[in-house]
Amino acid sequence: MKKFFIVYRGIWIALIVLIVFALQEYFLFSAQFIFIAALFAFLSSLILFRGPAEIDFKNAIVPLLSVYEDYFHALTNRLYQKNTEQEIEMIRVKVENAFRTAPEWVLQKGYHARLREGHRHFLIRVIQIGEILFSLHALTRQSLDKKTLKKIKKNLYFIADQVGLLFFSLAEAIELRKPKGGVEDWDAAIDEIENILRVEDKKYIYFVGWVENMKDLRYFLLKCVQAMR
Amino acid sequence: MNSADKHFLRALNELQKNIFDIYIKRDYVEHHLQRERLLYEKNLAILKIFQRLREEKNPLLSLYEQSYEVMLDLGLLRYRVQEAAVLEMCYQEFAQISAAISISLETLQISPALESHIFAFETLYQNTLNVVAKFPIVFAIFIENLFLFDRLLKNIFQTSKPNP
Repeated sequence: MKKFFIVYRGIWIALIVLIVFALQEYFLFSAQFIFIAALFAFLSSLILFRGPAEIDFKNAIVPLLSVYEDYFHALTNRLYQKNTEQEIEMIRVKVENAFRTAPEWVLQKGYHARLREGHRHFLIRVIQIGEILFSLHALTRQSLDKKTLKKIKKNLYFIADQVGLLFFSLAEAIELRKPKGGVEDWDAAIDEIENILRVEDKKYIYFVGWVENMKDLRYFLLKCVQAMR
Repeated sequence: MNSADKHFLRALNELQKNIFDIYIKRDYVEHHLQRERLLYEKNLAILKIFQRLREEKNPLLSLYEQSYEVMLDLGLLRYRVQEAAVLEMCYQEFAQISAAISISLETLQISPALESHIFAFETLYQNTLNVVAKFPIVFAIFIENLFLFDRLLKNIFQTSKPNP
């Protein structure tokens, strides 16, 4: 897609230069020249385009959602020492790479007018989900009370499973495949965790941070689902 | 500290300036797209440096990662608190904390003012925000993260000091 913006800007610059020259009567056949230049630019943009913008967007977003799913599961497992920091680090590198290749070109000026609003909205939500996952990583590095972790284990894993399913369903929907469904709302599980935690106690602040991130994650994922409709 | 370390701290400073600028100017709702685009650019710059730090097997990488994660957590307040009046109450504290972090990251030594500004913010939370904010708990998390960030910075500067 970067090629598109290069060509797009190139066309405008070439046309402006030609018009200026034409107005100054440097070219005898200015009208024909402008037409040939525009035709050349149009044909070259057709050759350089690999496919429609939707396909490029889809190809960049789906791998990101897939690594997010792995990362979130790994972070939940980390709370219960089921994996090592090195194992998470490997997944994190994949997330960082996918994050870096996110289709940020949809935020550029001149992006497809029909797709602009939806794609931008979706991308920003996906980037924000990435930020939430990174901040969850910070929480897994803190020493958390094991007894409390045990109490909320069932709910945390339920949330992790549902979040994973939702990431998968989103990727399926983007690929224009029918999502398998079966995702349950994890709002009740969040409420249950909140009841277990005594939020006023400072000792529990990191747990509360985790819960708030879960709420944000739920909100953004639902926004992504809405954007797909 | 080598050039990659300094690069990282500079990029982190840029990120924190952008995050706190949203709170200070309170324009996230109006300039949502521009703000997100800028933040994404700052994020990209940091992730690029991480790649370099990993190649170098930098001993401070884990601390850098943590400080970046905590900074992102501090940035989550931008959509958790939409009440401009509440943010306006914290204007001075946000500006002071951001300036103190900036000084620390530029001079490569912790600014003594940072901790005192965080304490001032905590006092504001206990006296006012706790009552007036719709979801005061998000400020409690924010303050805890500020303390955590302060500790991380101290740790980074302490570890990077050459042994006498």
